[in-house]
Amino acid sequence: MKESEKIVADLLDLIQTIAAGDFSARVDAFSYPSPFDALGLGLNMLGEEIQDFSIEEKKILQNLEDREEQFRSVVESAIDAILIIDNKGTIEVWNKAAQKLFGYTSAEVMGKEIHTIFAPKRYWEKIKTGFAEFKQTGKGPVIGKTLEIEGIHKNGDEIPLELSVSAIKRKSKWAAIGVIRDISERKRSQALQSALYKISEATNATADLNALFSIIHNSIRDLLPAENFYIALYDPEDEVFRFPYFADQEEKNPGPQKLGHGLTEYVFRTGKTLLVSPEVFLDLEKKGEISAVGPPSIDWLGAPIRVRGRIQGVMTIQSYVEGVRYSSEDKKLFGFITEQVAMAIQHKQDDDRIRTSLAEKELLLKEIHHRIKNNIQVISSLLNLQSTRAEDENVISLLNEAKSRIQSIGLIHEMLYKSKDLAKVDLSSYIQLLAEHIFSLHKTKRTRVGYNIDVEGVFLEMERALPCGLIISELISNSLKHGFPGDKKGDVSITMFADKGKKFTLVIQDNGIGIPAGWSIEKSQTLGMQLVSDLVLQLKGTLTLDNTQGMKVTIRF
Amino acid sequence: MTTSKAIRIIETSSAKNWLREDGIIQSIDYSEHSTPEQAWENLSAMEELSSGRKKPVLVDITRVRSIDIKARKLYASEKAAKVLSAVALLINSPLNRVIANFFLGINKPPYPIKIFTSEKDATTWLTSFIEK
Repeated sequence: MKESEKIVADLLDLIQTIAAGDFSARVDAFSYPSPFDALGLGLNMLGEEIQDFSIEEKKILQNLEDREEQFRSVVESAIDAILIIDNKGTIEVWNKAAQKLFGYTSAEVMGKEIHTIFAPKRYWEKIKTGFAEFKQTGKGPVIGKTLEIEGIHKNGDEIPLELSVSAIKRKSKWAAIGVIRDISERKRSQALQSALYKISEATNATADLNALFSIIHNSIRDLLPAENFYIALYDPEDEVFRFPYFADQEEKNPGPQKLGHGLTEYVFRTGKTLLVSPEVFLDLEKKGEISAVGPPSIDWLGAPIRVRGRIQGVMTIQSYVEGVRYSSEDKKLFGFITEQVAMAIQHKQDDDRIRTSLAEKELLLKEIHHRIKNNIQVISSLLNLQSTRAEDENVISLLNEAKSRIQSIGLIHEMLYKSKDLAKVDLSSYIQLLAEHIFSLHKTKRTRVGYNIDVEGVFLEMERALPCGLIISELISNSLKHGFPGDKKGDVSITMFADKGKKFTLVIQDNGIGIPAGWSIEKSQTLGMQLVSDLVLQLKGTLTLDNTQGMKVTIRF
Repeated sequence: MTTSKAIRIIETSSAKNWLREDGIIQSIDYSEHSTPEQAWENLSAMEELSSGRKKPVLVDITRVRSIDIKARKLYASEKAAKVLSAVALLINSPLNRVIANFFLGINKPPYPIKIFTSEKDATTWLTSFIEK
């Protein structure tokens, strides 16, 4: 064989080996004469390139497989349901969480249109329209949003869901990734919070327990099927159960019931929340724990109402139809709500007790004021009797003054027992009564000396109203006694107001003959003026006397 | 035959590289089998000669009998494109034509490249790539 033939055979063999997949095969090109060396080198280099490409391709494929595996494990291990839908709405990816959430296996849903799998029929039309838009633009009413919707489980149950949808473009076609979360727990928790809030609000707002029970029933209905609901409270005096709230499709309120062997009594005895299915009922009946009372229910759920550590009653819901059953979760929830209801009942009972006690105390206080006023009236009458028997004008005058002072005090007690507010005295009404009383005592005709009262919205507690009353009484009496001698006509005015700093100003003024120069209340020897001076001190106030025009006394406290 | 004077010369383990007065870098590869390490050395030398501005390069591969695939990839890389504005490959045999042809196809670099058998023609072509 010629050398050239051998080289050609070598080169053909190299091509066949590379074609068979052995990309590492080479020839000793440099041992060949030209131009075979170039041919050999070229084939060697091509082999090198194919080998390199093959290694790179393997790396890329491995990388792709790794990514695919990563994507799959992320999707499959996700807590939320993840699905990928093509632009026609058919399902391409359906993870384990989706299977758990909706009850369909991946094989059952793959390639099917999404709305037929878990969307309620009321959404179908919207989904159809949405996908038509999505197909063209990658946009739609749910794209890029997180929405709360309802979905349907394979078993037909409706589930509240949170759905987030995003759009992706693959080979110029739009696809959507949906992440779906079951928000039943969240919804339940929100409903529970709302129910507890309503119960708490009602505890404060409702007038009595019966009104509260009605709101409790409505609140529980938001959480559980509770068409049949009753509250049984034990009355230890009569040893009966009373049913202050009873709503039932099969039965009327049975009225007070002696303790028997019903389920209500069983929960009352054991102090434990109880869920009774027909099987549990038979078992308890067999054990002699209970006996049938009232129409038979499918499920019965009762919880003890424990107030201050003592069981005061039982709260119950029950169903008479197969479709309405209670779960152990419902039992927990109902037990928890009953605890809150017990607290509300306790709060309401405490509130009622406080209100009753307060009403009793108010009544007692009014009675005390009434009795004081009556006693003052007796003292005043005694002084009156005494003055009618006295002959000395000075004695009569002194007795009258004393009587006037005592009646000023009596008036306050009269006002208080007639008033709704036992803590504060309405000075406007009080001064009006006081002025009328003093004018009548001094037998002063209003046509000769009149009075004006300008006191509005001034309310003072007893401790300050009483000294105020006595001061006014003394100063009006003083004006009437000395300010208008003979037939002199004029007016007495009483003004009182509070400034922004809650300081009070009381002004008693007349337009009579005025007071002698150099006279002052502090230096006055009369009992009345000394009393005024002391009372101003008692009020921690100041007194200003102005005699430029009649008499004007200003007291600030 | 080189007609332009050398301004600066850098010799590597496998090649002589110099910057010519006309702004062209010229390189003569003396290695029979060019390795990636040698390719790296040569590219670094050209980078130094270019002083941060891309230069046209005339590479004489008449003595080269093979270039390793990694070396080929390095010459065709983005790193090389940052230094070289164009490359003229000077050949004189079917063997180095085969090598040069790989740079026109499979290992095509991101800069203009052409094969010449005459240094003069190569210089003429490269002149258009000299930055003024």
